[in-house]
Amino acid sequence: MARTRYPTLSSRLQISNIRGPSGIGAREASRTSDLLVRELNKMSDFFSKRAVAQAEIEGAEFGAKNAITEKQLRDVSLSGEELENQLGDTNTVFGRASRKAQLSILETELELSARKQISEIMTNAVTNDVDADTLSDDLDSVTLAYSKLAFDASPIVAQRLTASLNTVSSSRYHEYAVKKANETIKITRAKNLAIINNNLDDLSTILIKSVNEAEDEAQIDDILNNKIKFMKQNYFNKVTKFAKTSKPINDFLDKFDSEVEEFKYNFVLSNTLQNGKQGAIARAISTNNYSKIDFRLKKVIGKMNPDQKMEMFKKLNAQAKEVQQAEDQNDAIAEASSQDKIVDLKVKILENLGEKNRDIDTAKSLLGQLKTLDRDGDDYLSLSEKLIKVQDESDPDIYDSLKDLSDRGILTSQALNINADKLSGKDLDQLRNELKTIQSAKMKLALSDLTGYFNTEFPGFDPKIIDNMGKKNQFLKPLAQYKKIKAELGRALEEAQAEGKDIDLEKLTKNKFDNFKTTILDKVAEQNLTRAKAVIKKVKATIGSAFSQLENIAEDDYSTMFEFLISNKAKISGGSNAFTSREFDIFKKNLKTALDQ
Amino acid sequence: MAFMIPIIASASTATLISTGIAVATAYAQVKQGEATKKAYYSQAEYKRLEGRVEAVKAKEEGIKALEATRKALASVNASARAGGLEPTIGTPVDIGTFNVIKPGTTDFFTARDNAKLAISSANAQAEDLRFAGRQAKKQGYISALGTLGSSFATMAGTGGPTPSQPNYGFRPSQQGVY
Repeated sequence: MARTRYPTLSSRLQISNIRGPSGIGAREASRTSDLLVRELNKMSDFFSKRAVAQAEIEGAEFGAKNAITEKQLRDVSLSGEELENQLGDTNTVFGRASRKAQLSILETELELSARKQISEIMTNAVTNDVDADTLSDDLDSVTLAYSKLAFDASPIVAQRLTASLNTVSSSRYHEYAVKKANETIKITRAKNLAIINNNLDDLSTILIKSVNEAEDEAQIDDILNNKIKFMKQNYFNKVTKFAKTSKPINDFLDKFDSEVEEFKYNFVLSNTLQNGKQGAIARAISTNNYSKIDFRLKKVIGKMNPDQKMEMFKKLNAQAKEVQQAEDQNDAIAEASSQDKIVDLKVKILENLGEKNRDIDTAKSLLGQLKTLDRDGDDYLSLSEKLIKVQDESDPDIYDSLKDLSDRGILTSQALNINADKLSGKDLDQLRNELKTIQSAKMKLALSDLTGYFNTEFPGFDPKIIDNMGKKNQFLKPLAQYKKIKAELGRALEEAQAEGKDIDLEKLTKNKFDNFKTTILDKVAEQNLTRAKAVIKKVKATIGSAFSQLENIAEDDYSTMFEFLISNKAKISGGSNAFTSREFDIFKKNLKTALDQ
Repeated sequence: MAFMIPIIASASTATLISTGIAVATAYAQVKQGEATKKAYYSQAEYKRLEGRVEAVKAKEEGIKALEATRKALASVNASARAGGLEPTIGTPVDIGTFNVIKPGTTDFFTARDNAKLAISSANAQAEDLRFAGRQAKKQGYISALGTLGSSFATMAGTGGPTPSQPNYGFRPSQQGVY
């Protein structure tokens, strides 16, 4: 700028500083973008999480639907790679969820199956009383087998399953082992107790036998003094195996002593019971004079103290009374039972002679038994007379029922034969005559049916053909057939009456007419075929030279000949042709009839 | 919004309260954005006014420059007359032209340019602030939409009995079971 000498112009204006936009807009725009990105990321994250959750659910459902089964593992139907593929890809949420679900289901299935087997083994062990070691081996084998199965699918599942099954097995085994040990202890104690009681029970028998076998008084002294001591010592040894405290041991020893005292009473009483010398022994005790009794009894009684002797005396008297009472009672019982039996027999005989449950054979047998028991014979005589009277009568119930059948016209020979033994001769003859009358009436009805059959047209029936056949074969005439069937029915009825058998004349008539009908129809069919063959033969003979195709038609090829006639009608029938129209129609009809059957 | 009806119908009370608060928050965010926009627009208007003031000042300086030129030119004329020189010819004219008029007019035009620059600068700053305001409003809407979206998605994700499921007239949450 040029300088000036004028002060007013010495200071020049400058271009003022330009202040541009602060950029707040750009910053806000940036913030907007950030915010938008953040919100979009949030949304994306939200939907991603939902997609992951959805994939987890779908994977779990897929795994549940396509779970590997115990059977697949057992059958080894999947290879290692196939198994891994079915379990699912571990790199995806879907695959991991599928694998987790499948393994969970498989684990549950295997565990349930194994628990079932364990339960079966336990049941078997309890039922068959299996020892604890065998049970342990069985349980271990189940655990091992299922662990191996699970290991094929997943080692982790196998480890978990093994731990679970081991817990179950050991728990069951422990329960069983404890139970088994307790049972063993109980059995051992019971055996020891049984041995002790058995020894105690046998004591009296052994001592009686020993005393009875003793030859002199010295031997008896030895038995009563030394042998009893020796037996008591043995008994004590056995008792100490069972009882561990003094009270039960003393109780058992007291029982032994009581048993020895009881032996003395039993020995004397058994002897007196056998020889009936209660009075002599009692007198010996009361007089203290044993010179006239057996030395064994003398020694045994001699070992008793005064109180025991008094007790022995009472027992002998009581035994003598009981023996007397028993003899009296036996006589009374025998008498009473004989009377009771006679009454029972009379009741049974009367029942069997009664109208309701009549059974003459049983009544006779019972009457025989009564004869042996009835001493005066009054009952036997009266019942015998009744039996003879009943034998001449029919069973009224049976007769009434047969009479009812006869009145209704449905009496049969079979019913008559079955009940003949329950009818008198007179009634039986009467019913047989009525049966004959019924059968004669049925014969008339059967002949009426037969006439009706012959007058009824049936499919395939052609009166003209029947007449023609009748002319050729007199036997096939309906009247001849009617007479023949009538004669056959008559013979069948006579035979049935002679043999006492039933006869269904209605059914027999129907069968015989059906046979006739079949014969007629067969004959008609045969005649139709013969006519059709005659047509073929005639056509070939008449116009065979004019139509070369006729040579190829066989004598029973009715359909081809029929088609030939239809297609060449104009050439062969009517006018000056080989056949008249009427002949042509007859040919066609005969062939059609053969084709239709 | 019809798709929201079954979701709302099956939502629990707590979910509905949460969603209601989210709607209020979204409304507040929209309002905040609009307020921020208003603030920026106010600043923009102030800036524009400031620019106009600056421009007026610049114009005043230009006028002052012209007045100073007129005074200096008068002084040159007066000095020339006093010195016996004809002010309209020769040196006085050159002095007046090159040493007075030219710098004076130059200052005047500079002042006019400064006024225009002040207005342009202020307008640019104002436009920047208005842009910032619009962005702030947009942020409010985006935040509001984000809040509403999250809330409705949460409500839809929380779930409830579907119309096909049996309804016994109560929900577990209403029985104090969550």
